[in-house]
Amino acid sequence: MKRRTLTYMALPVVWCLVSGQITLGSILLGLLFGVIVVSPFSKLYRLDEVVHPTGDWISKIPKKIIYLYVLIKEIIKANIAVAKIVIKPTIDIKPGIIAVPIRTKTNIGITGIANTITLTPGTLTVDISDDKTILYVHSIDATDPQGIRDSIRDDLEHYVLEAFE
Amino acid sequence: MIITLEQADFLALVVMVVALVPSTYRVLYGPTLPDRIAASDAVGNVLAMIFALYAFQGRSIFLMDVAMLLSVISFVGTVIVAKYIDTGEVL
Amino acid sequence: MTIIATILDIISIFFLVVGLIFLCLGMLGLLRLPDVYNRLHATTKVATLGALGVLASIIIQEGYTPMGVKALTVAIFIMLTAPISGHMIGKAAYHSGVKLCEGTCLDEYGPEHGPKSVPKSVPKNGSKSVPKRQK
Repeated sequence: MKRRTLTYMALPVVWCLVSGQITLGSILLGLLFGVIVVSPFSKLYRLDEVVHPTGDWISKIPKKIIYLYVLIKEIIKANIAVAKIVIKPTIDIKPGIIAVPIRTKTNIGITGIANTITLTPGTLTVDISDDKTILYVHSIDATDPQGIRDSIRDDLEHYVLEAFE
Repeated sequence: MIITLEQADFLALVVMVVALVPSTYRVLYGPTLPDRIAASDAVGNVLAMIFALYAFQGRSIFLMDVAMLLSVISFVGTVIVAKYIDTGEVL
Repeated sequence: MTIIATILDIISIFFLVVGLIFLCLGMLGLLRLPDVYNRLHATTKVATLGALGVLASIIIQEGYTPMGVKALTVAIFIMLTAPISGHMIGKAAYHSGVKLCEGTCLDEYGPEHGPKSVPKSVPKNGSKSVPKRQK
């Protein structure tokens, strides 16, 4: 399947969400606008490149829903933890930058795990090593680096691996 | 004491405008440049929320577009300035 | 019907209050925390949840109307882009030489990734960009 087909399928959905009306006319208008807007930038979008969408994308939807549930739960926990630190009268924190090895190899898996780490308790991804195996994570409480590595590997990366690979 | 929904939304707008003050301080007097960028990103997000709530209060759909555009422009501006600091060139 | 409407109002106001509290805490964290990396924790997480709370209140009140769909779009966009600005600012701050704050107990990012020793006026790609402009 060429990337052109995927782009022309995705842009009407974006137009429907942005314009606020999900009707047949809106979808057709979005398709028209998509073709017009994409045509000057066809080199930037690499439209003629052949992409291979993974075959079991549909069958992984339940796992994606579980991942979303875990993500929302972790976001709320993270926010309460950071809010407690902010609201204390004296701030005594021990931050630090920790190297966390990751198992994912694909680009979408790395993006997913990095964004998930940034959204969860007191951790912020700063950079990735050149061979894409180690994430450098800034943590707001770095007194126990091995514990943070274990919690990322067991609690988050497991769900990301199941949902995106 | 009974507060109607409109008054509650108005109070929320006042609280958000007051919340802009600390980040404005950080934009003006931030010790380093990345501080100012982070603060202006936060200001953009809060301004987008102010416009979203104002659109909801005034029943105007088009002000919601303003909120959408503010969040988009805030994100693109933040990424471009951060990349400029990092590598010294924009594209 | 009025009972359901009242319950929806109460849920909406609850989300609005939670969102406002987290938004104010995020801004307070931006003021109080000691260095850039810790301030990024406050803005990318706490302010994001605050924004999502405010937008959830609007979505619950509006339901499936154009304004509700637009609010949902803004929420999805903010949730997707907040971590990316966090990465970019953090990486730029480390590479431009912003020091970690005093209480820092660990830095495994290492000196090899630290502030670039090459001055910015003679970057490696600089020679490449000059012929581009001449074309």
